[in-house]
Order: sequence, then structure tokens, then C-alpha cells
Amino acid sequence: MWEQAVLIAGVGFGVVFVVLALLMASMRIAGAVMAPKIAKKTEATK
Amino acid sequence: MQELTLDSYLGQLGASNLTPGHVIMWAIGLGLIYLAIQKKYEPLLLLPIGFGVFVVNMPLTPLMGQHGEVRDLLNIFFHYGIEWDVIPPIIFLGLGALTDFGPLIADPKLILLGASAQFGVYIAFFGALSFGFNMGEAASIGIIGGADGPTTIYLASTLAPHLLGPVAVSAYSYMSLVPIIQPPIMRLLTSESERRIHMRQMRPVSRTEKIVFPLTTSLVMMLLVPQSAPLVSMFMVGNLFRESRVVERLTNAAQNELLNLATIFLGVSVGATMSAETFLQPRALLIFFLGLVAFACSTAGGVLFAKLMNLFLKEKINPLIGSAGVSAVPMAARVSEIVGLQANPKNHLLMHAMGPNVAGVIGTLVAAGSFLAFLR
Repeated sequence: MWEQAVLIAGVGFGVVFVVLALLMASMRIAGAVMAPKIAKKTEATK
Repeated sequence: MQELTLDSYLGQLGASNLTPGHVIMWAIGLGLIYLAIQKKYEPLLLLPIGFGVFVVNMPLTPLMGQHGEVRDLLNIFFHYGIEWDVIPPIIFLGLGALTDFGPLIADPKLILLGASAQFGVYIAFFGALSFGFNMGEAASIGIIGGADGPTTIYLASTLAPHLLGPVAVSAYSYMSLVPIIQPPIMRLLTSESERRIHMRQMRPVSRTEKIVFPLTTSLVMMLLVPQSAPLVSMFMVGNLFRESRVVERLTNAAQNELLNLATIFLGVSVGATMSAETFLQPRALLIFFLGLVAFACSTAGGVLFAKLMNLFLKEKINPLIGSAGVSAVPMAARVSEIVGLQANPKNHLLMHAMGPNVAGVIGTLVAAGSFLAFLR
């Protein structure tokens, strides 16, 4: 049972990090695409 | 027809069937009602839960029974609302419509704090196993550390429905006690200079980024953790309603009427599962103890991971925001703000802490989805 538990916890905790890291990457890409547009908008409102 | 005698009539009175267990459960129910009304601890949930506990422990009341195909009133709410996994996703729809992911999108690295704060989930999982709980029960107890009520209920109702009452009450009780549980752990694990670290203002986030977020999150999570789809899909569609700004009526309905109705039925049904026979057992006390361990370890996990991140970051983050990784939105973020202000009155951490705070909700969903993938 303990071997199974270690597997469940290890994979589970690992998947949490992998999924959230992928989301982080996707947010970074979206941010990089949008950053020039946001900067332009900010400049225009100054 | 039964012969009517005074004895048979008296035997059908609730008062004749009262046991000390019932009275203890009344005290627990009334205690929850007191905490909700007087202390304002999670009143939206503890009040209906407390009332559910109170009334279901009136002997002979036709509230939670089942006679063949016919179910009593609260049993109907419980069966179709929780056992059929309807209410938790509806609550997530409302939460999605209420959640602003802006602080997380502005500083994406903070999402990792939401992952690290799931540490307590797995510590409590092992703790529960060592106390003799089976895998499904241990997972349901461990997920308390995620500090996310609907996810806890969703997982427990699937993997350990007989433990639903104590697990749910434990989760909501500790969520309401965040301002008491977290600060000592946060202070213990950080130095004065770390608590003073100043975090500069976040960048503005565009509407497009906010619209893209629920779509990419749905894509990533459902491809990698399909078992979390019922909750994730509702969470993200609620958020898409909000950020699209074109379906205000739907957003309002999800944020208000729908969420409120679901909360009422969730609270009363969960309370109604706590009969004296099922709740007054040493296992319930163990669940409360393990829930506290889960919560404390999750808080520590978030703070320590923030310190670890600081080893590699040029611009340091204040480790106090790590504790907000334990969902409990927005109370955990407020705790980070308060403890931070005590160290540096000019340093407002609230918005920074909201990032890990909402990331914690996603992290708990992934953790629950992984448990379901293995154990369902």
C-alpha cells in the first residue's frame, strides 16, 4: 500500500507543478505578445 | 393500521428517542451557528451547516432517511446536489465569475506558490494512511490542506462519502481560522528582513490576456488532468463570462443568485450528513487533527518555496505571500497583507498575494483531479 501511496503523492504533486508551470509559460507568452500594445496604450494616455 | 395506544404514541415522539449523542450534536450545531453569527467565521457556510447539524439530530425526523425509492427532503438535496456532483461545479461557476486573475497574469511566476502550497495535502494524505484510513479516505482528508471547500466536498463525496460531514466541516472551520492559524507559522519561518521585502507595483493586464487565461487554463488542465474537468470547466466559463464583459446578466446570475442558492443547499446538505451515529467517533477527531496538520503544512510549503524562489530571483519576493497559496480566497491574501504591514507599514502585499491565492485554487483542483485519476 505504501508504494502505491508514494506513487500517487509523487505523481500528484509533480503534476500540480507541471500544470501550473505550463500555465505560467502560457501567461508569459500572452504577456510578451501584449506588452508592446499595453506600452503603446499607456504612452498614448500620458 | 397499528393499534393506537398511549405507549405507541409516546414511542413516536422525538423526545422519547433522544440520546446523549443527539444532544452533543445539537451543541456542535449550535456552536457552528454561534461562530457564524457572533464571530462571523465563514457565516455563509457555517450557518446553514450548523442548522443542518442541529435539525438532522432531532430523533425520528423525516429529513435524511430513505424508504425504498422515496427520500426525505434533505436527503433529496444531498443525493441530487452532492452525490450527483451538481452543487460543487455550480459553486465553481459563481467563483469563476467573481475571480480576478489579473494579479496572477501580471506576475505569472507567483503561480508556483499555489503549487507549493499543496504540500500539506500530501503530508496529511500520508498522515491519514498511517492512522489506518484507506486511500480514498486519506485523499479526502488530505485535500483539506488545499483550503478549498467545494473541491474538498467534490473529492470526498466521490472517494469517501461517509466522511463528507467531518471533512467538509473541518475544511470550512480551518478556512475561517486562517487569520489565527497562519500568522505564527509565517513569522516562525521568515526573518524580520524577509518580511520587510518591498514588492513594486504590478504591471497593468490587458483585457485580451484576461480572456485568453480561462481558455488556455481549460485547455492545459483538461488535457493533463481530465478528471478535474467538471470543476475546471465551470470555474473557467464563469471567469470567461466575467472577462468577456458581454454577458453581464449571466455574470450577475452566476455571481449572485446561482452561487447563493447553491451555497444554501450545499451548507444544509453537508450539515445534514452529520448525524450523531456517523460523527461521534474517534475518527472524526482524527480528521480534524489531520486537517489542521494539512493546513499548517500547506502554509509552510508556500512560505518556504517563496524563500527558495528568492535564491534564484534578482528581484526578491516577500515570502509572506507564499502562505496565500492555500486558496481560502481572499482571507489568506489578507493575512499576508496584515502580517506584511506589521513588518513594514508602507508595504502593501494584498494584490501580490492575490496571485498565489487564486493559483492555490487551481493547484487544489489539479491535486484533486490527480487523486481521482488514481482512486476513482
